[in-house]
Amino acid sequence: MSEHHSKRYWRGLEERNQTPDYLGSIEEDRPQHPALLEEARDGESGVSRRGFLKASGFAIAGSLLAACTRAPVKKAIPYLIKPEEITPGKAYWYATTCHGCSARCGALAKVRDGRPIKLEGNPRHPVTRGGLCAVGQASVLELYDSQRLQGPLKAGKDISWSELDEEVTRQLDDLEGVYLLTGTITSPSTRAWIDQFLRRYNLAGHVEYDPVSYAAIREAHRATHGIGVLPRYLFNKADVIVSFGADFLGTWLSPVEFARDYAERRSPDPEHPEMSYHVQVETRMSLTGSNADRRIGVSPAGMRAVLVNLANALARRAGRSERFGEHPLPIPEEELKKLTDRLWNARGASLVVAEENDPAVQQVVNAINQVLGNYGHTLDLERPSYQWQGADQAFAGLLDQMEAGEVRGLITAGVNPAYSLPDAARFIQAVQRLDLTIAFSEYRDETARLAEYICPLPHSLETWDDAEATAGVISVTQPVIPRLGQTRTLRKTLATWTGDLTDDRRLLKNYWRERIYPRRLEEQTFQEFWDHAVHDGFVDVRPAASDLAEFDFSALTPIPFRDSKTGLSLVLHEKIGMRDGRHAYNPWLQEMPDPVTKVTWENYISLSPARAKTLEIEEGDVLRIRTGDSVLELPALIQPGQHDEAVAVALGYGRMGTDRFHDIGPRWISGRPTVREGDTIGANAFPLASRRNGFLTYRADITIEPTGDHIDLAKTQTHQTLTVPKAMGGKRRDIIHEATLEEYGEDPEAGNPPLEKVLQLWPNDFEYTGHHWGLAVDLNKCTGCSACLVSCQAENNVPVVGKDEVRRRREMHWLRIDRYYSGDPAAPEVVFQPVMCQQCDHAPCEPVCPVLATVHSEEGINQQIYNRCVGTRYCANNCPYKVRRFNWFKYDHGDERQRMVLNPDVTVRSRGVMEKCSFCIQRINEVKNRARAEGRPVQDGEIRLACQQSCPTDAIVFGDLNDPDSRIAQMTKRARHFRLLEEMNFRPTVGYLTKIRNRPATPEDSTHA
Amino acid sequence: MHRRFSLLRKPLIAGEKSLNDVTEDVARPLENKATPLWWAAFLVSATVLVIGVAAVTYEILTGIGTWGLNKSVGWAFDITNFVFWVGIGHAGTLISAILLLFRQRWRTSINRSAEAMTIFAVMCAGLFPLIHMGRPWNFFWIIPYPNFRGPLWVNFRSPLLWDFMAISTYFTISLVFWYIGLVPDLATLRDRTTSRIKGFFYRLFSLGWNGSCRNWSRYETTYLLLAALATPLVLSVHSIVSMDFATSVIPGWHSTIFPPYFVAGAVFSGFAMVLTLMIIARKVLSYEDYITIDHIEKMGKIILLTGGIVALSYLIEAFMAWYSGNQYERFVFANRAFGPYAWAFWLMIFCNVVVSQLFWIKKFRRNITLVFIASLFINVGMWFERFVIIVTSLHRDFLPSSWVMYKPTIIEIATLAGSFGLFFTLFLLFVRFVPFIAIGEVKGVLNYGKNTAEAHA
Repeated sequence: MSEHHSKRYWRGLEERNQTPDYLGSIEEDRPQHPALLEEARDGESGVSRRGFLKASGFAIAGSLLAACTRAPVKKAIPYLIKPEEITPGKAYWYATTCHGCSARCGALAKVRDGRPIKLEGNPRHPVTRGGLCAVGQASVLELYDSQRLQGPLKAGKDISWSELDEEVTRQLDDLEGVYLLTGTITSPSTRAWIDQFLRRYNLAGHVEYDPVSYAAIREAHRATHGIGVLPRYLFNKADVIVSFGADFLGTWLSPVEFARDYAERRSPDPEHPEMSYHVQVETRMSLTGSNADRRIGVSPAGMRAVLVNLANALARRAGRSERFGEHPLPIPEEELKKLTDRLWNARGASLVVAEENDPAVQQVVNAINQVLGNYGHTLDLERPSYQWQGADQAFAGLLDQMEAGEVRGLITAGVNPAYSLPDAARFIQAVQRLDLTIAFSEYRDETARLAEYICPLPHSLETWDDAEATAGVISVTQPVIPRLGQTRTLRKTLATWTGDLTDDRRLLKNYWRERIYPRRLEEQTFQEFWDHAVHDGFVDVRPAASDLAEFDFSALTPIPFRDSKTGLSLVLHEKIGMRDGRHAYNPWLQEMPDPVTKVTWENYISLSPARAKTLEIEEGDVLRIRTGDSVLELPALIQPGQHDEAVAVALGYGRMGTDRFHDIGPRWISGRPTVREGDTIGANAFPLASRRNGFLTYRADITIEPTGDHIDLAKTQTHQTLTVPKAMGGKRRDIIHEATLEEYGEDPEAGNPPLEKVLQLWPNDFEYTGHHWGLAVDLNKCTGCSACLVSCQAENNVPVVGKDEVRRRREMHWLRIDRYYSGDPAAPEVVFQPVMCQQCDHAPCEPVCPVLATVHSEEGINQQIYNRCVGTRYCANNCPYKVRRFNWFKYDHGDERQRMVLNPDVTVRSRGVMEKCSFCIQRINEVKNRARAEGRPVQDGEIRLACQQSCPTDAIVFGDLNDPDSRIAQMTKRARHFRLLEEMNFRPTVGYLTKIRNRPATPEDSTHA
Repeated sequence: MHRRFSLLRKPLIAGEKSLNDVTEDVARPLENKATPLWWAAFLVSATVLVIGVAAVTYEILTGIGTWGLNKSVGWAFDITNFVFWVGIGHAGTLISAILLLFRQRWRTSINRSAEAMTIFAVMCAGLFPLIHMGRPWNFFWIIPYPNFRGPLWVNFRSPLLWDFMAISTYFTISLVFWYIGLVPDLATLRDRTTSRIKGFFYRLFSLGWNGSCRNWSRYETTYLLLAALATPLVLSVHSIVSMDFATSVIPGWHSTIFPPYFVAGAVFSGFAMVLTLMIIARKVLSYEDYITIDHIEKMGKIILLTGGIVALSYLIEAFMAWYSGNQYERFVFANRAFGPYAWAFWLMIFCNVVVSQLFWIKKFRRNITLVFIASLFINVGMWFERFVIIVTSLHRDFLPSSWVMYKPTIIEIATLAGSFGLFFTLFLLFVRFVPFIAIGEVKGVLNYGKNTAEAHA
């Protein structure tokens, strides 16, 4: 059409005279669309109006963000007077803290139009530095749970706060023998008010309780160092890490912090071709064990034996006379000697940790670290962790007193012992005989319903709070939405009951003024101090003085050898998605596949392949475990690498009220409900724990037998290895490139031979003259934790589909973490590979869509146009990476309140439409728009995709491949860089860095590419 | 008057039929009341059709999730059925068009019913691309119609679009071709009928045919031209359908042999279905003199030829998978033969290769019962061929993490059954209301193989 215009019209003198201003403005307006460039090439300079409209129309159609819905708007309430600071439609970020567990990671809350829709890690927080785990990512959904208590209850009926306050304070005045039972209190202000409250009503005591307890570590340090604290572990300072069952990358203590530190030492590059050396001695296959360089599978007794023998060997090496027991060594002497040597050679730069909640065992660990000189280097007792303060012995004592009738009243806050105690039955019985029972809880859970008074707790996103998780760093929690119910924090209620009616925010601020502000490190006014703290989400202060003493070797006692009486040992553990069960009502976490087993909506009994064979059972067969008088029935899961004597079950399931998910997911004639009404998701394994000398023990001797029933597990991945079955050739597919550290040292391209140049028959479809977005994942840094998976779900409104749909292999997660085993099935190596849409430049999905619903953008993004898709699914068939997800049904996004968590920048897809990872196009466009408004180019690292942002280890890098200085461009040039199925010439813009393992090469390695 | 038979040519129509006999024989089932057997068959197939309609309605209202598909297997029964039905249609077109151009006069007894079968098969086939869409109410977006949204066109590179063009063309031409051929016969019935309703429709659809030389001359020309138009469709339509797979990147699909392989397979399965239908129809309608054992044998020979091409294609595919050295290609074939769907694979091999090779034996070819049973096996085998191609290639492709199993749901099975219900219902209606044999064309070959010279002293 431009050829028809032989006469050019100019819009003004500027254009005619081609003044610089005019040319500048034209340049900015011109989109870089090929159609327009062609027109320009035709000899016409400038942009004709029709051409611009044509191109922009196409570009707009191609980058459609909002749904072209035909549904009429039902409710639109405009601001009458617009608040000055808030622009509707713009996101505001507030620093706060995640309360998903007691680790209290720093978080940023993204608030749109008065409601938080996404949590991200706070990059400035000194402990977690921007990471946030899957539980943290999912916790935003719990804010909008309609089943959260809306107001105080007395005997199950509504009561007003003033009535409750009046009745409770009256009873507290009269009663003696009232105890306060809480979870770990990390909040110094809350602790101060607890102390006030205890004094005011002369309470008999305050006990802190963690369902999964670390009390033994604290007790051990009390014995050896004089102070009963958790050290702060510094994995980034360790050259050698030996963990005895501690899942420090998954659930142990402070996994986000540890993962970040650990990953700093795990990725070799040509300037620093070193890695830390990580040995995991464990019974089951944990997430941490999957990442270890050397994983030693042992029984629980064997784990102690290795620990004791190691301690003996190191003591001997250090010239000390202590010996820690006589245990038969379950591993070859040679191996122990190598480990001893390695640790000894890394004195002061090594770290030994253990999971077992037994003070005697933890004392041995302390001794090892002491002998290796690690205290003060990789373990910090002067600035300890306050993240887990549960006192097992104190609670055991409380329970005894309750049974003896010495307790008259109990106030519980933020704990659920009626569910999570091993001897919960004792607790439940004893509670029912009390005169006064008050429960502070978000839900009417197993413990709350036993209480006469229930005080509803708010969600962390609705409250003010503080937390000193690690000494010297105090994090702030601030509310980002007005209270959704009549809830009050523990601090506020206790203050009210002591007579102080100040509001919660002022209570906190007053405490800070009195007690935190004096610990400041810089000179500033209190208001400045407070404002900085609220703005940054944390503040650095002087840590409390430490009474650290010299290591007392005399406190150590040898550990007797104790093998399993039945030949089978139960190992109870937390799953990274479910933890101790407090998040059982979160569908995102229920549907998150466990990183190692890939099972959703379920817990199960993990067995080794050999054990399953002996029992003659298959995966899914229901087994019965018996210990003492506790019985548990669950389906079996075959876990390669698990020790034959070990039987592992995850805690956190069997929560009452999980049958609320009976109608989650689509309902159709062959569909099965996720859980039956009256039933629970999974089964509660806590009763199989026990106490030993008061300390909670998560091991037991058990017997096991098949029941004859069968349950199909809902797994997102059923084929576990890269090797195809023997009957079909038995070849290993070259999906993962890996090498050993030694090989890497000799040749950085080890395991990653460069491809021959592929001959191209056709010219490229697209010239990327502007941005060309690319992504890379470092397989060494990726631990498999799946935080990215939940982050993507939160950001992109990915629906929950329910257990039956997952079982039918129709989960909707845009990002999946593939997990492959290799080597000996009894002792496999593991690798995790996050796979999302590879945004191929030669995408096989693009040519096959009949209606052009999937097209390529001029910046390299493969775009899925939801409102054009008719759902033929050819694109999904043709995708070699199988990253596309189809909306098989109309998926619910919850009730009206739960839909408040939806991200307004992302379309909610309808039934029959294909969807997939879009490289968070909404985030890319947001940053591009901001940059254009500010008249500057987009900076490298400014755009952070949801998955990239939440990764605790910074394993994902995203940026502009066309920018030679960007991190991503540098990564693509690295010798370790490869792409999935690169030889097929799909030209994915997603790349990976080879997995380097810090172990000697073996003959099998030659079969790797 | 003594008619002598040629020494060289066997008569095409047995039983020494006169011209009037032909008219009477073909018109009789249309003019008599429907037999109880017809009613029984009609009720059964209509019931199955209703079940299918219910299943499809439920699926459209509830979602594709009511099928057994998943994130790795996006197509299974839906496209298997589609390709199956399209393939079946090819026999009719080959008989009508190609055999006409090759002057195979024996086609005249079977071409009407075979072409009807094609039309019904294409109708059944065309349903599946429509109902397999996630949002079938937007199906018209696949039509490149002018619009003001850009204009927004369709993706001309997509094999699914070529499918749409090919199938709609195929249906249109087949329908027109069949209808034009019907006109003289409808005129015959118009002239015979005493029923008012039937008379109305015969008058309407016979377009004022008066049997004049001019009519016949134009008819023959049109018929020949339509045959010429329809002939390339036999090769092109299924080549295009095969491109649904051949142009993809998935191992097991990405194969250049697909177009000839599919076309041969289509003719193969089509003739099997023609045989199934004809063998029953000739018995029930007493058309043994028209559809003779020689017709059956000739169709059997075509089955042998195309079955041989199909068997050769299997061998070539397997050989090329090995020869390529590509581990993904090799795996797909090993997985087909030894993996979890091996039962389907070997069933397919038995039904398509082994059974079709039996047609070498003349005695076998001329045994109606055995040929009938063989045709059923071949139909099953060809359905499974498409199932094997689609499902075994998808369920285990490049990345082992996406390996899944596929199992059909009750809705899919009901839909497949429903498509048979539709096909047979339409075919039974055809038998009831439309002349089964091309009266005009058969009359034209009555003297084939007969010497009409009178020999009398």
